[in-house]
Amino acid sequence: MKSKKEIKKPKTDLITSDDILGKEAVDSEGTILGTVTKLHISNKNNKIIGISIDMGLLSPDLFVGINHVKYFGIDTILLKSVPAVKFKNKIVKNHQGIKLGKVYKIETNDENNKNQITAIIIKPKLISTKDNFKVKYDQIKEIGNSIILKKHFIKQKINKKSTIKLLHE
Amino acid sequence: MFNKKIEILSTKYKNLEEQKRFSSYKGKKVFSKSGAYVGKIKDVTYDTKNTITGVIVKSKKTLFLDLNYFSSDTEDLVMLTIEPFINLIGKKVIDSEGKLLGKIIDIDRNKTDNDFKSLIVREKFYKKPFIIPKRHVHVTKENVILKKAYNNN
Repeated sequence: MKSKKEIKKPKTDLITSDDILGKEAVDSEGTILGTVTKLHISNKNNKIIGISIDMGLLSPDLFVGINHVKYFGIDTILLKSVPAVKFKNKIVKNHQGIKLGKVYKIETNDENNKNQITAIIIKPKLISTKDNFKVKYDQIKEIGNSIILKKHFIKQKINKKSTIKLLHE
Repeated sequence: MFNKKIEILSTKYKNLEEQKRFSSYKGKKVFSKSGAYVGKIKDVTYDTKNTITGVIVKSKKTLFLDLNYFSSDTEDLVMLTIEPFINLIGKKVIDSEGKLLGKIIDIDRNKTDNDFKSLIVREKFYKKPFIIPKRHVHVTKENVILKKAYNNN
Protein backbone atom coordinates (compact mmCIF):
# COMPACT_ATOMS: atom_id res chain seq x y z
CA MET A 1 0.00 0.00 0.00
CA LYS A 2 1.36 3.36 -1.00
CA SER A 3 1.47 6.49 1.04
CA LYS A 4 -0.19 9.36 -0.82
CA LYS A 5 1.77 12.37 -2.05
CA GLU A 6 1.05 15.93 -1.04
CA ILE A 7 -0.21 18.20 -3.84
CA LYS A 8 0.79 21.68 -4.88
CA LYS A 9 -1.76 24.51 -4.59
CA PRO A 10 -3.96 25.11 -7.65
CA LYS A 11 -2.79 27.81 -10.07
CA THR A 12 -6.07 29.68 -10.20
CA ASP A 13 -7.62 31.50 -7.23
CA LEU A 14 -10.97 31.87 -8.94
CA ILE A 15 -13.96 29.82 -7.88
CA THR A 16 -17.63 30.12 -8.75
CA SER A 17 -20.87 29.62 -6.83
CA ASP A 18 -20.95 26.08 -8.22
CA ASP A 19 -17.81 25.36 -6.23
CA ILE A 20 -19.55 26.38 -3.02
CA LEU A 21 -23.28 25.69 -3.19
CA GLY A 22 -24.36 22.13 -2.50
CA LYS A 23 -21.15 21.25 -0.72
CA GLU A 24 -20.98 20.05 2.86
CA ALA A 25 -19.73 22.43 5.53
CA VAL A 26 -17.28 20.91 8.01
CA ASP A 27 -16.30 22.54 11.29
CA SER A 28 -12.83 22.44 12.89
CA GLU A 29 -13.65 19.18 14.70
CA GLY A 30 -14.56 17.44 11.46
CA THR A 31 -18.31 17.53 12.08
CA ILE A 32 -20.36 17.76 8.92
CA LEU A 33 -22.82 20.51 9.81
CA GLY A 34 -24.95 20.45 6.68
CA THR A 35 -25.09 21.63 3.09
CA VAL A 36 -24.25 25.12 1.91
CA THR A 37 -27.39 26.48 0.26
CA LYS A 38 -26.83 30.24 -0.03
CA LEU A 39 -24.14 32.81 -0.58
CA HIS A 40 -24.71 36.17 1.04
CA ILE A 41 -23.36 39.15 -0.88
CA SER A 42 -23.18 42.73 0.36
CA ASN A 43 -25.12 45.25 -1.72
CA LYS A 44 -22.68 47.99 -0.78
CA ASN A 45 -19.36 46.53 -1.82
CA ASN A 46 -20.36 43.39 -3.77
CA LYS A 47 -18.34 41.15 -1.48
CA ILE A 48 -19.35 37.75 -0.11
CA ILE A 49 -20.17 38.26 3.55
CA GLY A 50 -21.20 34.75 4.45
CA ILE A 51 -22.86 31.44 3.67
CA SER A 52 -26.02 29.69 4.83
CA ILE A 53 -25.90 26.05 5.87
CA ASP A 54 -28.95 23.81 5.76
CA MET A 55 -28.64 21.77 8.96
CA GLY A 56 -31.61 19.52 8.32
CA LEU A 57 -35.40 19.54 8.49
CA LEU A 58 -35.74 20.15 12.19
CA SER A 59 -33.06 22.83 12.48
CA PRO A 60 -33.00 26.40 11.18
CA ASP A 61 -30.34 27.34 8.66
CA LEU A 62 -27.02 28.50 10.07
CA PHE A 63 -25.46 31.69 8.79
CA VAL A 64 -21.66 31.64 8.91
CA GLY A 65 -19.75 34.87 8.34
CA ILE A 66 -17.04 34.75 5.71
CA ASN A 67 -14.38 35.34 8.39
CA HIS A 68 -15.26 31.95 9.85
CA VAL A 69 -14.63 30.12 6.58
CA LYS A 70 -11.18 28.57 6.41
CA TYR A 71 -11.23 27.11 2.92
CA PHE A 72 -13.58 26.58 -0.02
CA GLY A 73 -12.45 23.05 -0.81
CA ILE A 74 -13.00 20.66 -3.69
CA ASP A 75 -15.46 18.52 -1.76
CA THR A 76 -16.22 20.43 1.44
CA ILE A 77 -16.21 23.91 2.91
CA LEU A 78 -13.93 24.00 5.95
CA LEU A 79 -14.77 26.31 8.83
CA LYS A 80 -12.26 27.78 11.27
CA SER A 81 -14.23 27.03 14.41
CA VAL A 82 -17.07 25.07 15.98
CA PRO A 83 -20.45 26.87 15.92
CA ALA A 84 -22.17 26.89 19.32
CA VAL A 85 -25.47 25.93 17.70
CA LYS A 86 -24.00 22.48 16.95
CA PHE A 87 -24.55 21.53 20.58
CA LYS A 88 -28.29 22.08 20.48
CA ASN A 89 -30.20 18.80 20.92
CA LYS A 90 -27.04 16.97 21.91
CA ILE A 91 -27.58 14.33 24.57
CA VAL A 92 -26.35 15.30 28.03
CA LYS A 93 -25.09 12.60 30.35
CA ASN A 94 -23.65 12.56 33.84
CA HIS A 95 -20.12 11.28 34.58
CA GLN A 96 -21.45 7.71 34.75
CA GLY A 97 -22.99 7.91 31.31
CA ILE A 98 -26.57 8.13 32.52
CA LYS A 99 -28.69 10.26 30.24
CA LEU A 100 -30.00 13.45 31.86
CA GLY A 101 -31.66 15.06 28.87
CA LYS A 102 -30.87 17.09 25.79
CA VAL A 103 -29.47 20.54 25.22
CA TYR A 104 -32.48 22.80 24.82
CA LYS A 105 -30.75 26.16 24.63
CA ILE A 106 -27.23 27.55 24.58
CA GLU A 107 -26.09 30.75 26.24
CA THR A 108 -23.12 32.44 24.64
CA ASN A 109 -20.83 35.36 25.28
CA ASP A 110 -20.92 37.40 22.11
CA GLU A 111 -18.13 39.79 23.09
CA ASN A 112 -15.54 40.25 20.35
CA ASN A 113 -17.73 38.10 18.12
CA LYS A 114 -16.22 34.96 19.67
CA ASN A 115 -19.55 33.20 20.29
CA GLN A 116 -18.21 31.30 23.32
CA ILE A 117 -20.57 29.06 25.24
CA THR A 118 -21.16 30.23 28.81
CA ALA A 119 -23.94 27.85 29.81
CA ILE A 120 -26.34 25.22 28.49
CA ILE A 121 -29.98 24.71 29.34
CA ILE A 122 -30.95 21.08 29.57
CA LYS A 123 -34.38 19.67 28.94
CA PRO A 124 -34.91 16.40 30.79
CA LYS A 125 -36.51 13.47 28.99
CA LEU A 126 -39.67 14.08 26.98
CA ILE A 127 -41.94 12.38 29.45
CA SER A 128 -40.73 13.89 32.67
CA THR A 129 -42.07 16.03 35.48
CA LYS A 130 -38.67 17.63 35.97
CA ASP A 131 -38.05 21.24 34.96
CA ASN A 132 -35.38 22.44 32.59
CA PHE A 133 -32.16 23.32 34.35
CA LYS A 134 -29.03 25.25 33.54
CA VAL A 135 -25.42 24.19 33.79
CA LYS A 136 -22.46 26.53 33.37
CA TYR A 137 -19.81 25.70 30.82
CA ASP A 138 -17.18 25.00 33.47
CA GLN A 139 -19.34 22.13 34.76
CA ILE A 140 -18.87 20.25 31.50
CA LYS A 141 -16.27 17.47 31.58
CA GLU A 142 -16.29 16.40 27.96
CA ILE A 143 -17.92 17.43 24.69
CA GLY A 144 -18.02 14.97 21.87
CA ASN A 145 -20.68 12.56 20.76
CA SER A 146 -22.57 13.62 23.89
CA ILE A 147 -21.99 16.22 26.54
CA ILE A 148 -20.62 14.65 29.73
CA LEU A 149 -20.98 16.65 32.93
CA LYS A 150 -18.49 16.64 35.80
CA LYS A 151 -19.05 14.39 38.80
CA HIS A 152 -20.53 16.98 41.18
CA PHE A 153 -21.94 19.39 38.64
CA ILE A 154 -23.97 22.33 39.88
CA LYS A 155 -27.51 22.55 38.63
CA GLN A 156 -29.13 25.94 38.34
CA LYS A 157 -32.90 26.19 38.33
CA ILE A 158 -34.38 28.42 35.72
CA ASN A 159 -36.81 31.04 36.91
CA LYS A 160 -39.45 31.16 34.18
CA LYS A 161 -40.19 34.82 34.95
CA SER A 162 -36.56 35.89 34.55
CA THR A 163 -36.19 34.12 31.21
CA ILE A 164 -39.23 35.98 29.91
CA LYS A 165 -37.72 39.23 31.14
CA LEU A 166 -34.50 38.54 29.22
CA LEU A 167 -36.35 38.09 25.94
CA HIS A 168 -37.94 41.51 26.23
CA GLU A 169 -34.78 43.43 27.22
CA MET B 1 -31.94 -7.74 40.47
CA PHE B 2 -31.04 -11.27 41.57
CA ASN B 3 -34.21 -12.58 43.20
CA LYS B 4 -33.50 -16.27 43.54
CA LYS B 5 -31.99 -17.22 46.89
CA ILE B 6 -28.42 -18.43 46.63
CA GLU B 7 -26.89 -20.71 49.21
CA ILE B 8 -23.37 -19.56 50.07
CA LEU B 9 -20.57 -22.05 50.47
CA SER B 10 -17.48 -20.02 51.37
CA THR B 11 -15.02 -19.51 54.22
CA LYS B 12 -14.33 -15.97 53.02
CA TYR B 13 -17.66 -14.42 51.92
CA LYS B 14 -20.82 -14.14 53.96
CA ASN B 15 -22.97 -12.56 51.27
CA LEU B 16 -22.92 -11.64 47.60
CA GLU B 17 -24.03 -8.02 47.94
CA GLU B 18 -20.73 -6.46 46.95
CA GLN B 19 -19.87 -9.09 44.37
CA LYS B 20 -20.22 -8.63 40.63
CA ARG B 21 -21.16 -11.37 38.21
CA PHE B 22 -20.22 -12.18 34.68
CA SER B 23 -23.91 -12.27 33.73
CA SER B 24 -24.28 -8.60 34.73
CA TYR B 25 -21.45 -7.71 32.36
CA LYS B 26 -22.52 -9.72 29.36
CA GLY B 27 -24.29 -7.48 26.86
CA LYS B 28 -23.52 -4.32 28.84
CA LYS B 29 -22.90 -1.29 26.63
CA VAL B 30 -19.55 0.45 26.62
CA PHE B 31 -19.22 4.17 25.91
CA SER B 32 -16.12 6.28 25.32
CA LYS B 33 -15.00 9.31 27.32
CA SER B 34 -17.16 11.62 25.19
CA GLY B 35 -20.18 9.33 25.24
CA ALA B 36 -19.64 7.66 21.87
CA TYR B 37 -20.85 4.06 21.70
CA VAL B 38 -18.00 1.54 21.55
CA GLY B 39 -19.69 -1.85 21.73
CA LYS B 40 -21.14 -4.53 23.99
CA ILE B 41 -19.31 -6.72 26.46
CA LYS B 42 -19.03 -10.31 25.33
CA ASP B 43 -16.76 -11.76 27.94
CA VAL B 44 -14.70 -11.04 31.05
CA THR B 45 -11.02 -11.92 31.41
CA TYR B 46 -9.06 -12.71 34.53
CA ASP B 47 -5.44 -13.59 35.31
CA THR B 48 -3.80 -16.55 37.05
CA LYS B 49 -4.53 -14.93 40.42
CA ASN B 50 -8.24 -14.88 39.53
CA THR B 51 -8.29 -11.08 39.33
CA ILE B 52 -10.47 -9.54 36.63
CA THR B 53 -8.17 -7.83 34.15
CA GLY B 54 -10.61 -6.56 31.56
CA VAL B 55 -13.44 -7.27 29.17
CA ILE B 56 -13.87 -8.45 25.60
CA VAL B 57 -16.03 -6.03 23.68
CA LYS B 58 -17.80 -6.68 20.42
CA SER B 59 -17.19 -3.46 18.53
CA LYS B 60 -16.13 -2.66 14.97
CA LYS B 61 -13.46 -5.19 15.82
CA THR B 62 -13.38 -7.54 18.78
CA LEU B 63 -11.52 -5.63 21.44
CA PHE B 64 -9.91 -6.45 24.78
CA LEU B 65 -10.36 -3.48 27.12
CA ASP B 66 -8.10 -3.23 30.12
CA LEU B 67 -9.99 -2.52 33.35
CA ASN B 68 -7.69 0.46 33.90
CA TYR B 69 -9.55 2.26 31.12
CA PHE B 70 -12.85 2.09 33.02
CA SER B 71 -14.08 5.43 34.31
CA SER B 72 -17.35 4.15 35.73
CA ASP B 73 -19.25 0.87 35.78
CA THR B 74 -22.97 1.08 36.51
CA GLU B 75 -25.75 -1.48 36.20
CA ASP B 76 -26.47 -0.52 32.59
CA LEU B 77 -23.24 0.69 31.09
CA VAL B 78 -19.51 1.23 31.30
CA MET B 79 -17.83 4.58 30.64
CA LEU B 80 -14.19 4.71 29.59
CA THR B 81 -11.45 7.24 30.31
CA ILE B 82 -10.38 7.26 26.67
CA GLU B 83 -11.57 7.64 23.09
CA PRO B 84 -10.62 4.16 21.86
CA PHE B 85 -8.76 4.08 18.55
CA ILE B 86 -11.32 1.57 17.26
CA ASN B 87 -13.91 4.36 17.01
CA LEU B 88 -11.89 5.95 14.23
CA ILE B 89 -12.96 3.15 11.89
CA GLY B 90 -15.72 4.39 9.62
CA LYS B 91 -14.86 8.06 10.04
CA LYS B 92 -14.28 10.28 7.04
CA VAL B 93 -10.89 11.73 6.22
CA ILE B 94 -10.75 15.30 4.89
CA ASP B 95 -7.54 17.05 3.93
CA SER B 96 -6.63 20.64 4.82
CA GLU B 97 -8.08 21.91 1.52
CA GLY B 98 -11.47 20.34 2.05
CA LYS B 99 -10.95 17.31 -0.18
CA LEU B 100 -12.78 14.22 0.98
CA LEU B 101 -10.25 11.42 0.72
CA GLY B 102 -12.37 8.52 1.90
CA LYS B 103 -13.26 6.54 5.00
CA ILE B 104 -11.04 4.79 7.51
CA ILE B 105 -11.31 1.04 7.03
CA ASP B 106 -8.57 -0.05 9.39
CA ILE B 107 -5.88 1.19 11.75
CA ASP B 108 -2.23 0.22 11.89
CA ARG B 109 -0.75 0.08 15.37
CA ASN B 110 2.73 -0.44 16.85
CA LYS B 111 1.79 -1.24 20.42
CA THR B 112 -1.25 -2.28 22.41
CA ASP B 113 -1.92 1.13 23.98
CA ASN B 114 -4.56 3.54 22.66
CA ASP B 115 -2.42 4.95 19.89
CA PHE B 116 -1.92 4.30 16.20
CA LYS B 117 0.84 4.41 13.64
CA SER B 118 -1.23 5.09 10.53
CA LEU B 119 -4.75 5.09 9.13
CA ILE B 120 -5.83 2.85 6.27
CA VAL B 121 -8.26 4.77 4.10
CA ARG B 122 -10.32 3.86 1.07
CA GLU B 123 -12.19 6.29 -1.15
CA LYS B 124 -14.62 3.79 -2.65
CA PHE B 125 -15.09 0.04 -2.22
CA TYR B 126 -13.63 -0.78 -5.63
CA LYS B 127 -10.55 1.41 -5.15
CA LYS B 128 -7.32 0.37 -3.49
CA PRO B 129 -6.85 1.51 0.09
CA PHE B 130 -4.00 3.86 0.98
CA ILE B 131 -2.07 4.77 4.13
CA ILE B 132 -2.03 8.05 5.99
CA PRO B 133 0.68 8.24 8.67
CA LYS B 134 -0.26 9.66 12.04
CA ARG B 135 2.06 12.67 11.66
CA HIS B 136 -0.22 13.98 8.89
CA VAL B 137 -3.29 13.91 11.08
CA HIS B 138 -4.43 17.22 12.60
CA VAL B 139 -7.77 16.42 14.25
CA THR B 140 -9.43 13.14 15.19
CA LYS B 141 -12.84 14.00 16.57
CA GLU B 142 -16.11 13.67 14.69
CA ASN B 143 -14.11 12.97 11.56
CA VAL B 144 -10.43 13.22 10.69
CA ILE B 145 -8.86 16.38 9.31
CA LEU B 146 -5.34 16.30 7.95
CA LYS B 147 -2.59 18.90 8.30
CA LYS B 148 -1.92 19.17 4.57
CA ALA B 149 -3.47 18.62 1.17
CA TYR B 150 -3.31 15.09 -0.29
CA ASN B 151 -3.17 13.68 -3.80
CA ASN B 152 -5.75 10.97 -4.25
CA ASN B 153 -4.32 9.54 -7.47
